[in-house]
Amino acid sequence: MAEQEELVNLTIDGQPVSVPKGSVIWAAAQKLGIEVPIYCYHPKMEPLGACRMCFVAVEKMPKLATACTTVVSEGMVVRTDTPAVKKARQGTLEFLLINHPLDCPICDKGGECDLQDFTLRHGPSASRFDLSKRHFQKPIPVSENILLDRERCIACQRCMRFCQTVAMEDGLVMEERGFRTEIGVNPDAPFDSNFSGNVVEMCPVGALTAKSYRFVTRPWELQKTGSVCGNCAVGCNVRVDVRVDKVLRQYSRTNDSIDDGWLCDRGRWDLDAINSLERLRTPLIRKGGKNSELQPASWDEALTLIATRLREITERDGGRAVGGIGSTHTTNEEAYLFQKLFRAGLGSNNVDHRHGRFPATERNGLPWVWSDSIAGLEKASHIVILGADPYHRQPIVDLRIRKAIRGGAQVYVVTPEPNRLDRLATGVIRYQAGQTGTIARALLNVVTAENLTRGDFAEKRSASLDARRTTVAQDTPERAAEIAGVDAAALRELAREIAGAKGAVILYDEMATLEPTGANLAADLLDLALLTDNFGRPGAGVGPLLEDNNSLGARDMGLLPDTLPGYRPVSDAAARAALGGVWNATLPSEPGKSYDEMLSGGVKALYVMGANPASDATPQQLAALNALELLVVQDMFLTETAKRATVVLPAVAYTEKDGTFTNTERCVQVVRRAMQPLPGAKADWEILRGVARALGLHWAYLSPAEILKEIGRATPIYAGVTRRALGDSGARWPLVPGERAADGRPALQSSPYLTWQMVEQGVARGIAAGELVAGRGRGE
Amino acid sequence: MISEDVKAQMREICARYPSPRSGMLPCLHLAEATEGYITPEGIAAVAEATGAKLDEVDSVVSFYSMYHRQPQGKYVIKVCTSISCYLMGCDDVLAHLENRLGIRRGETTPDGQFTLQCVECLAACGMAPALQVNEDFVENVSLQVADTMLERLKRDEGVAGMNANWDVAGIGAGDTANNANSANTTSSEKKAR
Ligand code: SF4
Ligand code: SF4
Ligand code: FES
Ligand code: FES
Repeated sequence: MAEQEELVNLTIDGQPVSVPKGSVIWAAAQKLGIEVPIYCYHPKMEPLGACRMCFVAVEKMPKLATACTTVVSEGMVVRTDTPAVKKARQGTLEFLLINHPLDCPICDKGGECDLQDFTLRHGPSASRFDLSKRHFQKPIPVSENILLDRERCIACQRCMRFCQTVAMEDGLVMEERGFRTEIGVNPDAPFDSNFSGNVVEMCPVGALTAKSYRFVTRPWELQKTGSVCGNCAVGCNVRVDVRVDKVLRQYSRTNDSIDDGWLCDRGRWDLDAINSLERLRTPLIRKGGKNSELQPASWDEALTLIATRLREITERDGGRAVGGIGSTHTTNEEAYLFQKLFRAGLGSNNVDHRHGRFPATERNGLPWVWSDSIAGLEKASHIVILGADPYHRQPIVDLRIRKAIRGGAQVYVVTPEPNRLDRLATGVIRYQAGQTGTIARALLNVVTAENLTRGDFAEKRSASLDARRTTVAQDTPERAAEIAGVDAAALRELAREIAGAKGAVILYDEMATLEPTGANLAADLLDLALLTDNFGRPGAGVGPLLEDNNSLGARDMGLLPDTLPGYRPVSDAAARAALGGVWNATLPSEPGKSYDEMLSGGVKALYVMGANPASDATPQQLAALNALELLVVQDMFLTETAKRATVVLPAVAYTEKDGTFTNTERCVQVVRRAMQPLPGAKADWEILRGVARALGLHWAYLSPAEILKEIGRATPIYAGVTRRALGDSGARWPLVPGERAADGRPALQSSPYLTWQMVEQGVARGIAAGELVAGRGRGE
Repeated sequence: MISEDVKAQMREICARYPSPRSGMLPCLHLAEATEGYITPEGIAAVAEATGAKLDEVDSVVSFYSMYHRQPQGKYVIKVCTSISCYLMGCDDVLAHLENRLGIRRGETTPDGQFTLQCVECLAACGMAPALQVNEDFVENVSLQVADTMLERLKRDEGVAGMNANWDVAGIGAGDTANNANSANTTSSEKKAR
């Protein structure tokens, strides 16, 4: 959205530049590609002006000015190359280097250190200091994962400001003052933040180092690939740093609309699974029948066995006898191929995955999508966290909520357990575990009973409003107090706040829908937002926080027994025909079996890709798994489920393949191969292609990009989604026509939020998918 | 022990400011006055009253030399060692006080009467070298002034009047002359040694 920003014109070293009003000189220089060295300044934090590294000369100013704090003004004339500026830089650097140990040869930061680099480009070449430098005991741990070298610290205060002003958690502080200043931690307030790794990345020198990365490489030995974190549903943009065949760390690749430049520690360091020596490197099969041992086999053997057995069983008992449990971790392309294999190849709708409960409703089956976006949180006046724990489960969403709090948003934490956001919340409401649905209904009760509904939707859909009023008539907060042990008055007050909010965002955890009271949680909260006019604009909306990196993509791609890709019911003949046209196949019309049904004896052959149902299965489910005629498991590890398999196929990690993930706020993003696949293992899409070919299907896909193109045709909500359209920072579905491009074709842009009309029309129909597909021309 | 009463006083202090955090320094003074020095309990109480986090209060305590982490002597002598005082001979004053008290900087006399500390600029540079005894300033400190000061403190007479005397002596002569005098004193003594 191009809000017209007011621009200011100035010149730097004689070159003209225009930047938004309020920018600092540093940012303007950055735009021109002129380096102004900085230490204390960090573009994502408030300027401090402490290190004095960034001096520039500004015409008509008597003294040198700090580029990081001086705001540009019209006609300003800035020079970064005068003798005075050079002298000032040299002076600052000479001071910083007086006590610096200069142990660059063994410093992890060496090679990507701002003190090295700025000294090279702006510093003095010699020191006049010939006394001995000061020494400290080093390194000292400041947290479980981070070590501090006080000799290397240049006291820029970035790390402290991150802890105190961005993470707003206990952590690093400045101790003492003057030349004694050092970074410290209060033992009563330990630095155990989930965001701690950011201070290592932002430390301009090697003062803060990560335990997992100490002394393992030189930065120039790393191969760096822009990709997306695969550790949770947020989908932060990362740079995967690989040395030979190991991922050593993930660094931020800064996508303002998703991660705002930060990563959580899980994403940054939790890479053990990828680097594990336990990973599967060859297919395994039971050669001597069910009770024999799993033995290494060739890919041909394994694929032939799978195809033969699947054919046998489907020919004998029909497609309904086979089923597949797909993954919330694999790419969209892979999830898509998985359900296509079952629907088109085996004539079965028995495909599902592990997910929350999102029943179709009168609102056209889309109550579960987060209608707004992560960045939209900053525009909200109220944020309600209901039965969710973003700090642990979607960490970078939690960090964005903290930013919203700094901007004045009021946060209400309504959870059974204490939450890390409690301390910063306007209101904290506790209730008994398992009662999230009761709380949602009580909120809806107050809003309807007290006539607090408002807005377009409530007016135009008054029948729906009346219906809701009746269904929740008994569910008063007072009743909730009895059932769920909640403070009725506080709940009533919260409902009123939501109803009166300038913009409220209501977030709940996907898994809360599985609680006994949660059957209608998603739909109830959608209605709460619609009826209080908290929908359809940035900073107002509702949605689940999903669990895994591709939880939403798995649903979008139709890893569901009752819907085709894009949430079209399998019972919809027109949808079946359309998809059958793309696939050149006839599709089964009867809804398939669900995850639970398949796990309780509903099928004779089960194909599990990237999931481990045995890990939390009931004894009955385990017995059913053991009784299967054929169990195929495709995974990186010999999981509990894989140990029971007839055939095990080794798959690779997300860092070893290309594809796309869809995050919890509908953003489809490109994942890139950052390293060679583990020898012997294959990407899930390649494996599925192999199985399809062994079954005699003509699957000719050469790359994930090609599969994505087909997804664009097969899945209306993904119309127009191509690698090119996604670019470096992804796009939120559905893509909608933007301004026309120069060649007259409609350019596509992402939808930052959904309106209730879009939801009612099933989203896809609202965007004239046909026109997009036709107008897209050459596509990728 | 920070009593409920003291905690209430802290809350009252914080209530005077638009943002309760602004009450941090007075609350810390109160904590120190109550317990004699800043204890973890004191920090917790101040954090509670101001709404700040423990680590933030801790950082503030470490920044200011007027808060102490250990029990202090009855008289805390803080000698400025920043640049103006350094040029005007604070090292001599400090060495002299160490000798007289039989302790080193940072220490407290066994009888609990005196603590000797070095601090950064006391913002009394015009009257350097300067030191502070508890709340009171002693300026233009020569070795004789230091001796006089110690005698008065031993008799529990305080130092409140000492600068006034200097000021009286300085009237007419002006600050500059005054400074020159004390500078002369110290530097000539330096030569004598
Ligand atoms: S540890 Fe690093 S980030 Fe923190 S103050 Fe020192 S140099 Fe700056
Ligand atoms: S919040 Fe999620 S996506 Fe982002 S870095 Fe952490 S684990 Fe990765
Ligand atoms: S970067 Fe400008 S003063 Fe530190
Ligand atoms: S330098 Fe001693 S008071 Fe300023």
